[in-house]
Amino acid sequence: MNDLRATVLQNLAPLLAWHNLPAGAFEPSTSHQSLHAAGWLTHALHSAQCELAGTSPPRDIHQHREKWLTHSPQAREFTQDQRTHEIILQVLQGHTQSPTAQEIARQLQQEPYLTLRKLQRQQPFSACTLKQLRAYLAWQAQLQTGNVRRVAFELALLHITHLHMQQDIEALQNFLQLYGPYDRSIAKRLINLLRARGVVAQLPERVKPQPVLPPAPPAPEPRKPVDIDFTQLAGIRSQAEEMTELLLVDDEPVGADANPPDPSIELHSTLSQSLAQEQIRTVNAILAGGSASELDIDAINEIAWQVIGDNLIEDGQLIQEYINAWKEGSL
Amino acid sequence: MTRKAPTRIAAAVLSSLGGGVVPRVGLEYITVGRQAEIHALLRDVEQIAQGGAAFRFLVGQYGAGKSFLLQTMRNHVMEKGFIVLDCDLTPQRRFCGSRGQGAATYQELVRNLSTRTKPDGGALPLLLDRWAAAISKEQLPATLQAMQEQVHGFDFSIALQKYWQAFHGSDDDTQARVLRWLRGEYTTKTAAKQAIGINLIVNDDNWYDFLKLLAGFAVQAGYAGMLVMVDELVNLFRIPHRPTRQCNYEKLLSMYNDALQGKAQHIGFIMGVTPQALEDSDKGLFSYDALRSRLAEGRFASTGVRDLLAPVIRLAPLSDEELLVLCEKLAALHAQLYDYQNSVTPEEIAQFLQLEFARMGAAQHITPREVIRDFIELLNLAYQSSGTRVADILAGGDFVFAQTAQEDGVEADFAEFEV
Repeated sequence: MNDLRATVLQNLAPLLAWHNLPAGAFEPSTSHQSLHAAGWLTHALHSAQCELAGTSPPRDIHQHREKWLTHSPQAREFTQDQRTHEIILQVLQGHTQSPTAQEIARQLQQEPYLTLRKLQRQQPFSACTLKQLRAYLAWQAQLQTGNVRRVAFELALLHITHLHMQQDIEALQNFLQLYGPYDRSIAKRLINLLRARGVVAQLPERVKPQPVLPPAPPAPEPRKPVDIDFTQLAGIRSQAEEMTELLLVDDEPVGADANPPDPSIELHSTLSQSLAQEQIRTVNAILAGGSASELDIDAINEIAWQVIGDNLIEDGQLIQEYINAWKEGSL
Repeated sequence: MTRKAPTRIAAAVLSSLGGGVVPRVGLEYITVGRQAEIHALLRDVEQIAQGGAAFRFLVGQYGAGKSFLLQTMRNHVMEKGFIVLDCDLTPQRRFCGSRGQGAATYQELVRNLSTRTKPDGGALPLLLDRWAAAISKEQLPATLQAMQEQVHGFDFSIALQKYWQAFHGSDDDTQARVLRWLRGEYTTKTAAKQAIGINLIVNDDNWYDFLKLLAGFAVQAGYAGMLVMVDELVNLFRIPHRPTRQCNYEKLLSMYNDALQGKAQHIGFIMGVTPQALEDSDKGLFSYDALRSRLAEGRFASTGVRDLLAPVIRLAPLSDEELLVLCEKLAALHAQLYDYQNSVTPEEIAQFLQLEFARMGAAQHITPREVIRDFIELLNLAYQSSGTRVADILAGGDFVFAQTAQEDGVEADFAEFEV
């Protein structure tokens, strides 16, 4: 695993830079999933580059990828996108009832890295697929989001790889036309690929993409200056008191005895509020050094504390010690 | 007659609020406004006690009072005989994840399991002891059978049976092992099998099933039901990896469906979330279409007319008058705690509020949290300089207002911006 991580990280820096991603976007210590995605991305890039250069992809990365796929706990997360996978499969296989390219595009936009992985596993595409994928790529090229466009470009490279279209100069020229105006690095790569095939291409004029910003939230209404209506205060105070009464529950605790024994000591004379029967029973039991259960002890509320304080000891700490000692059975 | 808070509660309330956090106790004494929201939640509580289930999102900005309302309800339902499980989500605690984040949430919830008699959490042993003490040998099979119908109910009932036997046989070791299993602390099935003979552990996939089992068990132990409170849902919104975020929303959706379709019983959920984390169409709950279509406001809801029976409760801002009464209550608590005659007048509080809301950006950034912190600071200053009135401090101009969340987060690049 450490080797794998090292391999991924080694490839990560140029990859991040190439994808215009902030450093730490795939921080392995904080996001295993991101590392996972980075692994795929690295592999996709390597595979495409190696295929285009006519060499084999690095064997160790390939092996690691398979191992990762088999054992990764993240595999489950990818299954949620089963529907996307099915859609892509349908389209790539040239299914007659397949959804539109825009629908796939929408799905792919949500799961670009996953899509890369899935496409890598596809068999060579059919002519129908090629047409649809081209439609998708054309649509993607117009998107202003850099990452999506770059992923689309990755798709394009994979597309060439799978079709064994190293000689498809027309396709490369189409891609250059699609992506070149938006992304200089993609354009340069395509020009190099064309040059390797003996075609000289011009760097297209640059079009600066306009970022697609979400609609601005409506401006909050300016707050009115504080203007207290003193006539309302009495009503609000009274409502607040009602709410306090509502929220403070004086009912018997759950499980209290329906017919508790009468208190042997008259406690109400010292209190401004009445005690619940179980509290009275608890206090009596404690005062008598008696046999209240642990639950009863826990049921002592504020009022009961006051009563114990009045009757036994004055210091709260001592009361707690007394209770603890009683619970442990040392009294 | 005005209820007087016990002194230790007054101290806890003021120190917590002064530090900008919501106190765990005594909120009933300073609750002002929010009648409609509280009544809506109390209706849910009744529904849960009758065997139903409920699911609510409390939506409000940072400091608007979500945690306050959650704590208020927590204290109240505990008094009503419910068990309460609460936790804050963090990057390590989510609804699901690849590193046991879901199970971590379950562990935290169970660790914070509170009852009226154990309001500070850690009440699971009490719950089990109480159940074991109340169930006779003859009643045990029928009791356990009722649980076996649920998912993982068979293993759960075996664990309970072992606990019951250990309880009556004074076998502390087995009790501790079962307790550990119920808390989800076994990380491998092998360890659980060796410890208590059950080949199942709480994990990211099944922790919600265990919550439902716990709810049913609590009812058998004599409690009215179970309320689960999850705050800081914004942490799901902050998950950078989309599939993970969606996975969490899926889990949330399944819990929501369970509760509202009547598949869960005696269980209620209240979740605290910020408006952005709810509504952001890219990363928020609304980015998940199934949740958006369930939680988005209907066509007829509008400003001033709120549907408090809907799953989303948006916290309305407190009115100026309500803020004034809240400050009055705080002043009374302060005077009671430090044993002096409360002489803060409504006019002085009104002056304080006018100054507070005259600050730049107040409309967007001043929440009850900032108002309360400032006011407690004001009271502290007035108390420490004897003879000085609140109005004098306000008029002096030396009083420094609390920093808002927004102000705290000023980016370094703009900190020294000059025109």
